[in-house]
Amino acid sequence: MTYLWLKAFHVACVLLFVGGIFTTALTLSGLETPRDAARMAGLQRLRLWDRYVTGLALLALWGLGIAMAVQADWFAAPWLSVKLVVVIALSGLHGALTGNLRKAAADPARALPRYLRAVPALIAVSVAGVAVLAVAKPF
Amino acid sequence: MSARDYRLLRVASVAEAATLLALVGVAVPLKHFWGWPEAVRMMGPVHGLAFPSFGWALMQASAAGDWPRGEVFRVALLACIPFGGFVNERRFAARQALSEGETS
Repeated sequence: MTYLWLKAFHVACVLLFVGGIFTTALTLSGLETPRDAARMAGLQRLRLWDRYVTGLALLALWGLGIAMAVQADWFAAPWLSVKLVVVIALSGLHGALTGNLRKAAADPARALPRYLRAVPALIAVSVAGVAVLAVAKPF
Repeated sequence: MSARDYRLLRVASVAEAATLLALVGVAVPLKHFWGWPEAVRMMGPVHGLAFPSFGWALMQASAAGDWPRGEVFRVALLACIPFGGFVNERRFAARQALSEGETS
């Protein structure tokens, strides 16, 4: 596959992932207990979206990103090392959100950890940083 | 945590440990002592996919199962050293047996 096609699919997966992780993070950060039936149904839909769209997009963007870095021989570039640390953290954050989403969707009375309120801002800063690193390649 | 969660965590742990071992124990010596960098070029990306997959599975399981922070930190630290992932897998198997014993 040519580099341009890899990049096109990589960017498409990034857009799907970022949209999904923001939706999950914002939903969980404003969640109250106890949750009514409509809210619980919404959480179930979000769980499905997270599993089949956001989660798969994350897996695909990793595969495509690594294929791009191998093809362009970028693994020695410092900007990529910094970007990798940020995207590993973002991937872990998505895992934590998925675990909390499962808890929230399983029990309407279950309170969620308070750190979730800070997660949307953390994602915003990380995603902005990744975009700058990937486009400008400053070092 | 469900049996499926434990299975995912154990598979991700073994994959992470095996690819790290192949990278550090085989590919890197091949590059530095035999001048054959192709093995690192091959194993690097494979481990590059296995490591974040394990990290994702760990964070998902620890958030869903309310693990103590110290336990998450210990598992993450072990995953960074050769053979550590295999130790993690045994710990997860013990945890799974314990939780299945409690529910039956």
